[in-house]
This record gives sequence, structure tokens and C-alpha cells, in this order.
Amino acid sequence: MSIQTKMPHLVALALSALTIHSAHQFHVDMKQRIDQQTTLIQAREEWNNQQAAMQPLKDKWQATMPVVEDLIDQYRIIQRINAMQYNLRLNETGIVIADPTPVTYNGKPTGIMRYPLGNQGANLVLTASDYAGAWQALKELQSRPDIRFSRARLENEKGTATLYLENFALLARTDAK
Amino acid sequence: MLNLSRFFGRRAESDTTRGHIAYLGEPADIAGQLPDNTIGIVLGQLVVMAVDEPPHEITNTFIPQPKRLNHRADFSLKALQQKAVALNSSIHPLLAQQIETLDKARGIRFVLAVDAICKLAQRYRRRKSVVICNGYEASEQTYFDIYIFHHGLLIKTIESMIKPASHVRYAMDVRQQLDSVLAEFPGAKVVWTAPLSQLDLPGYDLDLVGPEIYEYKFPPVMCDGRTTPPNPKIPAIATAAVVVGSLAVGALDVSAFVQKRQTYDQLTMSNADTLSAPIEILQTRADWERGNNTDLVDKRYAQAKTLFSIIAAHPEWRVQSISLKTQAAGDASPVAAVDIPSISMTIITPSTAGRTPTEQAHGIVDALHNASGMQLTVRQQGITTISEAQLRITIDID
Repeated sequence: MSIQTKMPHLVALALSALTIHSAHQFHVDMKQRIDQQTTLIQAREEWNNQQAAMQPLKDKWQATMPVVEDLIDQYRIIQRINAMQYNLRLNETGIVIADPTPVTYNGKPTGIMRYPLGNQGANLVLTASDYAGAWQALKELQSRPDIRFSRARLENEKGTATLYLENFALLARTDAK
Repeated sequence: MLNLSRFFGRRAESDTTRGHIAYLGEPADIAGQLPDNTIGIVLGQLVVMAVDEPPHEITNTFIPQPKRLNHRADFSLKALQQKAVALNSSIHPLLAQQIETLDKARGIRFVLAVDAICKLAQRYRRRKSVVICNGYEASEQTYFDIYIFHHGLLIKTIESMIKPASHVRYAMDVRQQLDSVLAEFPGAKVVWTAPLSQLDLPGYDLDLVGPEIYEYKFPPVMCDGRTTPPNPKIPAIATAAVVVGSLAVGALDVSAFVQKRQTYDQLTMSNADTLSAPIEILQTRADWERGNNTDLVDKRYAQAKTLFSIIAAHPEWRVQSISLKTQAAGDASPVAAVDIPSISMTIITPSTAGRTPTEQAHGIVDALHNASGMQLTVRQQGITTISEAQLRITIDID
């Protein structure tokens, strides 16, 4: 048989082969892209679920813990403690604020900075007009997420109550706002 | 389906140098005795041809053959510019009927003589005009075919019937035919080919060519006996189907990808504003806060309060100080958990005459234990006599 008469067949065969080859390449390429996208979607769904699960905590932190930008000087730190709202008096003259240090947990960062401060060494001393008020103030202070102290001592002397908060520190988040 | 041997040809079998050659010019030749594996060269009355013309009325009963280009294997620009056209040919129905059976049963196959002529013409492609004479000498007449080529391109065929070769007027008829052609194409080369017996024709620029032109290096086009020729649109339809199928697959892929893309975009959009810190850090922070165990501190506070109320209700006892450990065991803050009791309480009480301070202290601890249910211990060296009248007792709860 001659090439001449089979030319349309050969051309058709060549075109079909070319088309199938290209289509196959395209299909493989698209399959890879689709798989990539599927992986991305799964990762993103997981991420979204994690974020959603974290949302209540995030809201809580947002509401109860300052960010480091809020604690740029002593005035703002003292204002943040806000002893007045518990009817406590804070002697500001002896206050020393140490350099903040990052808080880690099991060697991993928590995104929290610790601002240790005290007006009597490492302790923060606050005075209340009466014992019951100091007791109530202690309860509220120790439940605050942005305040940490290792021990609270309440002294009852001559009608005034003094609250010693040992190793007192204010906490702030490094999160973006 | 696709018959590959038909497509590529059976080269060894169709090699005419190996088989016998027989010239077939009349229907009677087909019926005659042909040896097995013969290659039949079809010419004369068994075939009609037309260059770039509508078919003759005779072709209504003749069977059309695959179209040939009117030149062979010439894809030069010149040939294309001359607008190569197809050579239409048809074979006698009697031949067509028998092609398949003869091929299958005895390996006899048929080739058109015109293919060999076209191939031969390529030797003269540098000449402007070449006139190739071919034909079949029957007993009653000679089928005389003239092919006119321009630079190897077939432009015209003239089929005629003249006197038989044995007739005295044979040469005259030939000259008459040639002269009328040469009048149209002056100065043309004349080529005289087998199976016409060689003839001396003085006065012409003449070449004589023997039967070797029917020997093929490559398989020639075999005659096709099928009355319904294969649909020439089939290759195009098949290709179109492949293209459409490929496009469909591609379109499905693209739509699947677009869908995935949209899903992803929606997922990223719905939570675009929630990123405040990497999730790992937030999880560590949550773990850390759980480790802080505020419930434990709350419980201590409640215990201390209970004790405080009991002591406050007592007419003689007075609380001097209360200490509360607010750092839980799991607290990982940089300040080391000091080994201190959970709750410490210092009580001032009047001393009772006749009882040792230790006895008095344990009396108070027992009373508090009975009232609160808590386990209390008097601290080592926790009993101090302040004055004759007063004792200071420090009690710990772990």
C-alpha cells in the first residue's frame, strides 16, 4: 500500500496521537493541581476547625489580657492593675518593674510576656480599709488571667488589712490586635 | 476494526520482483489461467482514468479506486504551486468482483499500470513535457494510452483504440496519435513502455522502456474491489471524536479544579480575620492556663474562708494573718513553686491557765477539724507565747 492513499489516515492517526498525548499530559497536570488543592482544602478545614475550637479562649483572652503594646510604661502598668476598683491602696513610690520575660510551657512559647513588679522586693503590698474588703479583693485578683502571684498573705493589724502578693507579675499577650 | 496488514501492506508478497507479472487488458484475461502469486498489471479495457475531471459515464458500473495524486512523492514547492490534482481511476466490475477471492485463494493481486507510469515520469521531471505511451495489445485491437507530463506532473491522459499491433496500419495509427499530441506539446520527449512491443519510430525524440518499470521497491497501491469504498470522512470523524473526548475530559478536570478552588476561597474567606497568633502558640497557651489550675486556688480560697468564718465566730479567737498558696503545682511560670503549705493561718488566742500551749493549740485544731472537716496541722515551732495572756498559733493545711 502506498503512503499516498493512506495519508489522511496517517494524518488522522498523528493528530489523534498528539491530541491524546496532550490531553493525557493536561489530565495528569490537572489531577496534580486538583490533588494539591484537595490537600490545601483539608489543611485549611483543619485549621479552621482549630481556630473555631480556639475561638472562645481567644475571645476570653481578648477581653481579659492586655497586649504588650498596652503596657509601654509604669503609668499604664499601674493603671492596668487598677487596685482602686478593689478598694485597695497601692504605694507607688517603691515600685520596681523588672524586664519582661516570655512565658514558655514545656519549652514552647505561649505568646505571653511576664512583667514582674513589686513595691517591696518581689512582693506587691496593697492595703485595704478592712479585712473583709481585702479578702474579697484577693479573690478577684487571683481570678484575673492577666495577674499572677505565687502566694497571697493577708495581715490583720490594728484595724487595717494588708495584702502581700508574692512574686507578683502582670501578663500581656504578644498577639497582633 | 483497523486492519494493519491492509494498512501497511504485505510487502514481501506484493514485491513484484518475486512474483510473476501478467498484463491484464480485457475481461477475458481475468478468466484465463493466471499462476498463483501473480501480480496483475491492470490496463487497457479494464481501467478508465481522468485527470481532474468528473468521472466518465462508464464509471457508473466501474469501481472507483483510491485517488492518486497526479504526481508521485513530489511535495516540492513547485509541485504544490502547480496545484496538484487527483487522478481518478476506476476498474472494470468483473475485475473488482474477483479481486478478493483471487487474493485470498491464490495470492493474485492487481496493480494499476498508471502507477508505474507516474513513477517513470519522475525520471523526466526536468523535461518540460514528456509523452509516455502505454497500452495493451489485444488480438482485435490495441488499447493505446498516452500520458502527458509537465515536469513530472500528470496533466492529461488520452485513451484510444487503434489497430492491432500485427496490422500494417498499426504504426500509422500510432504516429497519428502522437502527432496530434505533439502538435499541442511541441518538442516533447516520447517514452515508449512495455507491454507495448518495441517499435521503431524515426523522427521522434524516443526512449524505449521495458517491463522493469513494474518492479517496485516499495509495495504499490493494490486495486480495491470493494464496491463501497471506505468512507473518506472516517479519519476526520475519528480525529474529531478524539478531540471532543479529550476536550470533554479536560473540561471536567478544569471544572473540578475550579470547584476545589472556590471551596478553598470560601474556606479562607470565612476565617480571614481570626488570625491573631499562630495556632500552636494559642494551643500551648491554653495548655499552660489549664496547668495553672485555678480551680485548686478557688478551692483553697473557699477552705480558708470557711476556717476564717469559724474563727471569726469564736468569741476569743482572732485571725492575725492568712496565707494562700496561689501557685498551683502545675504552674510553669518562671517563679519556682515554693514548698509552702496551701493555706497557713496564724491565730491569736487567750491562754488558759493549767494547760500547756501545745494542749491548747491542739484543742483549737480539733475544734476547727470538727467544725470544717479539714485536716489541720500545727506548724513546727508554730506556737508562741506572746504574753502571759496570749498565745499565737500557726496552723497549716496542705
